Amino acid sequence: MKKFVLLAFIVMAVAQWTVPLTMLWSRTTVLKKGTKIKLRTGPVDPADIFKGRYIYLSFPGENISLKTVKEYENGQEVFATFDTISNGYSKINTISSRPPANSQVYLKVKVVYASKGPAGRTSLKVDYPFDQYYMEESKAPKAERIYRDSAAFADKTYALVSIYRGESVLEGVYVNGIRIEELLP
Amino acid sequence: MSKQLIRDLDELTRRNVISTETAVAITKYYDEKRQGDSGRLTLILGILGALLLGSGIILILAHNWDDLSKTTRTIIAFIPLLGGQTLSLYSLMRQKGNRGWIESTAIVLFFGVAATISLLAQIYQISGGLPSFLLTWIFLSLPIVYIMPSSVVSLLVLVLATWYVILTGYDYSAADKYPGASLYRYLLIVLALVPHYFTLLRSRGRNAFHWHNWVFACSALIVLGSFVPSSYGNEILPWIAYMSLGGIFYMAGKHALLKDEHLFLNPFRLLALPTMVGILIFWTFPSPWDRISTPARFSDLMGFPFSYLVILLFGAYLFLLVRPMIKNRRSTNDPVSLSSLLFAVCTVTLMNLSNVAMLVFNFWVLVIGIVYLRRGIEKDHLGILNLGLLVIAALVIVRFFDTGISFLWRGLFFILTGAGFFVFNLMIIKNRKKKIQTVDR
Repeated sequence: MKKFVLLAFIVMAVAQWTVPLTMLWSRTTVLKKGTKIKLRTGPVDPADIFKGRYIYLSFPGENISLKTVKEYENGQEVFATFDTISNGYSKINTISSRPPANSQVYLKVKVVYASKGPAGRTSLKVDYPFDQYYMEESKAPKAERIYRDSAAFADKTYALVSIYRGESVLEGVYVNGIRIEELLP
Repeated sequence: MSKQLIRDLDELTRRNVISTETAVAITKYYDEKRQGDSGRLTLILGILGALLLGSGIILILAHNWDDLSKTTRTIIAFIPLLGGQTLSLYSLMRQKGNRGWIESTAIVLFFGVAATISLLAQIYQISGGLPSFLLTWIFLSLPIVYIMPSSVVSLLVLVLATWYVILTGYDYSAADKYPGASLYRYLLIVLALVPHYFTLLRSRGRNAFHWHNWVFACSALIVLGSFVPSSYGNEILPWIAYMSLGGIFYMAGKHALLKDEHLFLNPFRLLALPTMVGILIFWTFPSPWDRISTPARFSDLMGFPFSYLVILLFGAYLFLLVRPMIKNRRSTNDPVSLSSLLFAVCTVTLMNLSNVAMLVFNFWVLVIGIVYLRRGIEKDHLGILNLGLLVIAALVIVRFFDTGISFLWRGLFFILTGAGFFVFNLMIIKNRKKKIQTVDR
């Protein structure tokens, strides 16, 4: 085999390893160094529940109202910091177009829409980068049914997320403190 | 070689119809052809086997997935990539001339790349959209096309590129943050595959060449519409783009490499006619004319990459149309090749005289049908004749829904067209029978 072809193959192989290894490295860094926050999840949309392997998550905290003079465009990537509120849940505290200089605990989110309100407030809807929770094929529909039947847990469902320097890893979905997989029969 | 053919060759040799050397040459030809066929069969079976093997392994792993630790799952996630690369390297080093091995292992590697990335995304709950995953998959797979080399992977990359554009281009809810982004990426990917396409032209791969023509032609027709920005201020230019693409396809179908091929091996020609005739027929209805709003200003349109694409396509079509006329010093008598030009001129100049334009398009489609009909009769070709009749029938059928024409006239048109099918087909069949009888005498 020509040396050139072998060399080209090696370069290609290295590139093909680089992408998944980079993904792995960035995720394990977030898990090791990140701060865990709890984000309340809203009812899962049954119409979109399961196209094969995952459940959709929606987060009421994605709708925010901020006092800001800045204008944000639809689709713009911004950086969100979080505050801890009651019951240990977190919600977005500030939004900025640049990463905060004095903190590593922030998350990159996308503006879905922004509208100016009264008194210098801006209503924003943002999209978290973790709206899908992968579960084994047969488990996700059962998980969704358990959630829907347990109306009492409606305000006790949350996603546990590690965030670090804009990146995030969704560690699990919990219903009343129990991982959703453990609730399944 | 079949036993019947062997017997026929013996008989022909005994009767001195053909010489012994000719009989040997014919036998040798069919033997070589059979070997080629079985080689192709091995290749196809190898490819299918690789696909099934890969899918089966993934399904088995998926069944037991939840019981494994994260570390184990991470290690397993890299197996498809490692396996694909190992097999591909083995093919390159030990099975260089074996197309079956090369293509199969290239496909395993192609899917191995995707499997590894997907598995890691599942394990670490990485949401990322399908379009960005497809783009990563495409760019990591492009080198496989040239290094192995693999025509199947080239086709798969083109399919992925089409899928990517469908996802990004037809999503009108997405903000036009980077207008033309999907267009540039698609063109980049297609350009990256062009050198491989030319090696197919020059060397051995006629099948791969035809497959590429088919996939590219279908891909281009599918993706062109997705490049129209949601805020585009002109409704005619996209149609001119499609007509220009149809015109380019039609001219490409007449190229020396393709013009003598069977129609199903000439996708450009096969797809060009229904595209152009279909668009012309659509514009014989009043509704598209009624929907045309006042076109946006030229300077505003030039802010969209799509406008440049329209100019490029129309320019390329005109070049392909005019070049043979200049070379042969005569104009064309082929109405199909002029259809795109006619459409562009009429839609732009007759926007406020839509009735005239509709009449012109009706007439033009009829002319196309009659030209094919006549050509079919002259060449004694049922296929071409019936194609001409189909074009006329299509026009008649759509006029059936045209409430501006009375029932009587519509009925008459239907009867004439239906009768035409019978009469012209019978005419050709009778002529053929006469010719056969004359030869027998």
